[in-house]
Amino acid sequence: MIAALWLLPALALGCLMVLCFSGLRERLPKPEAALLLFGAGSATGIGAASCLFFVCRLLLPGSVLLPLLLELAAVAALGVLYVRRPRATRASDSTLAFPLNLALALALPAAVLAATCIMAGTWEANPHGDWDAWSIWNLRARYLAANSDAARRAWSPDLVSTHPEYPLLTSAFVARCWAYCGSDDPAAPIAVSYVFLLALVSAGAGGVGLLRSRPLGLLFGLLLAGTPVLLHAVPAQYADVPLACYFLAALLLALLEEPLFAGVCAGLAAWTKDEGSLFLLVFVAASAVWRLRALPRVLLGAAPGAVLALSFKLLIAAGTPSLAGRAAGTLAPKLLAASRYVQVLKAFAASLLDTSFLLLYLALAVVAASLRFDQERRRDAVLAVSVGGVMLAAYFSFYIVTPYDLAWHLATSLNRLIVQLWPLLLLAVFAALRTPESYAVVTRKRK
Amino acid sequence: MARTKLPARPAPPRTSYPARVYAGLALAAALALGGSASFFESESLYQRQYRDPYLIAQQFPRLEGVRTAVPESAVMGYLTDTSPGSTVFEAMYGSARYVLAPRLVRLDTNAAWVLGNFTRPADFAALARRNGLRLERDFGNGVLLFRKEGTR
Repeated sequence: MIAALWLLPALALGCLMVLCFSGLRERLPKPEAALLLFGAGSATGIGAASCLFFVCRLLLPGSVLLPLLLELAAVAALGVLYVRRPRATRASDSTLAFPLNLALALALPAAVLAATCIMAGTWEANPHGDWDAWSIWNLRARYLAANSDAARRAWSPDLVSTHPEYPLLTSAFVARCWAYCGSDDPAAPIAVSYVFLLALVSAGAGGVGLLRSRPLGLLFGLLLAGTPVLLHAVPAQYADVPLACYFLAALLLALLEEPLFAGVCAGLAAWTKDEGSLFLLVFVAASAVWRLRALPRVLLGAAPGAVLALSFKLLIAAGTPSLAGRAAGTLAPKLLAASRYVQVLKAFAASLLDTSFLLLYLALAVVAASLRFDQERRRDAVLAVSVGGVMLAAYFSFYIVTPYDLAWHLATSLNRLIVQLWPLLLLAVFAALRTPESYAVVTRKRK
Repeated sequence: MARTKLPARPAPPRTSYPARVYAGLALAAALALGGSASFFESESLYQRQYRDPYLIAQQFPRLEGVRTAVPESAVMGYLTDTSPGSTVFEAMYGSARYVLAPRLVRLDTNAAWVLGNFTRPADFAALARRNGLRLERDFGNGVLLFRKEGTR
């Protein structure tokens, strides 16, 4: 349990970074700003602590004290900076109160709490997570936690069957918690995956609340907390929920004109999973097209995560055959096989039309029919649709050329890719909806 | 003292919304909560059907003797009676690698320390000789520790 407590300095670090270097503090004390601060701050803090721990492991493999001291010093420095900064004019929370706000605000934590109680059973049954958790992510965390040169085994070519070239954000962060507390308690990876779920729901509810309106933000959070495929991925301890969190936070922060931290989240996505590198490219391209003026700050924010991910691929784990590299060998015959397209299409349709999604589609249809779309928000929706759509198309294309047996690859990974993109697809709808408040009819009572 | 009558305060404005806005949001929220209920159903079934299906938690006590005997810096070999490529092989090898980390367990017998991870009893001493190893210790439950011949 102590291992899980070591998350707290990282969360403090991230929240202080967002508070000191973003415009979110001006939006406080709105509850939406606090939710987004927790969501984006937690994801940023975990990512920053992971990068720091990994770099220290690389440079001084035997030292636990160095990353710990640097992290605590950063928390202290940011704390002082935050306290000393002149207070911004606090925004008044003058939003029109929609009558269902209280009910929605009670339903959201209730849904998260219910999901947590259900997950507790899976944590107890499978404390080490599902297959990829113990064979890839937590295995590498165990190497990285070692206070010796054994840390370098996390990317040893001997692990070739479990992808030593995969980026190490979650593994390095779990290793950090284990190294700091001196034990390999499974509570650490359990807590990390759970905090990413909280960060995802929190950033979603807060971000959509700020972008559109409070009831839409709360409904967005409820829909995330009611997505069975997403919730199932949390106790599995895979890197897909963290990735979904970075995708959503990056896009929301970009829509809220916070390009620096949008870039930070996109860069950290690249340090989380290979799909994150693709997202970073798509996100930067979309920013260049739709938000050109913000592009330099997006690139600045993305630089640390992107440089680390790229250095890891090209310099540190160099020589390990990557999935894309292995796929390149048999590209032409696979691209020309019509049966593969049919097979992938059928699998996508089956996953996206799974019964667990039907209630959520119905919810989206109902809310879209009752609120309708706001033509003026088209630009935001187009950004969300273009990023989510290109990612979906890229995943589809990769299955066509996968080096693995196609049926096996689809069966074991497609649901997880849907988990990564589902929040973006929800955002594409919510970004364009009219707000309930825009339907308000204000009448003065006559005496 | 004469009381002056204050001017009447204007009545607070009343805000109303079309019924479909209420109904749409309430129904969408209810459907989202339905998703939570659906998760309860599917996850409960999952917990009953897949309770540590690869027996990962059991490998910690099973391999404890090896963890104690072999230093963390060691690179170990691996010997088994399961068929490479099968799910049993992958699960047993993967879980041994996970439990024994930071020791590195490689898929060959060319190492000073070799882990024996077996599903059935056999003549392990003879098996060791055939692979140029000697049996260092039998921990029971199919777990053995071999040493390369000529190493101390």
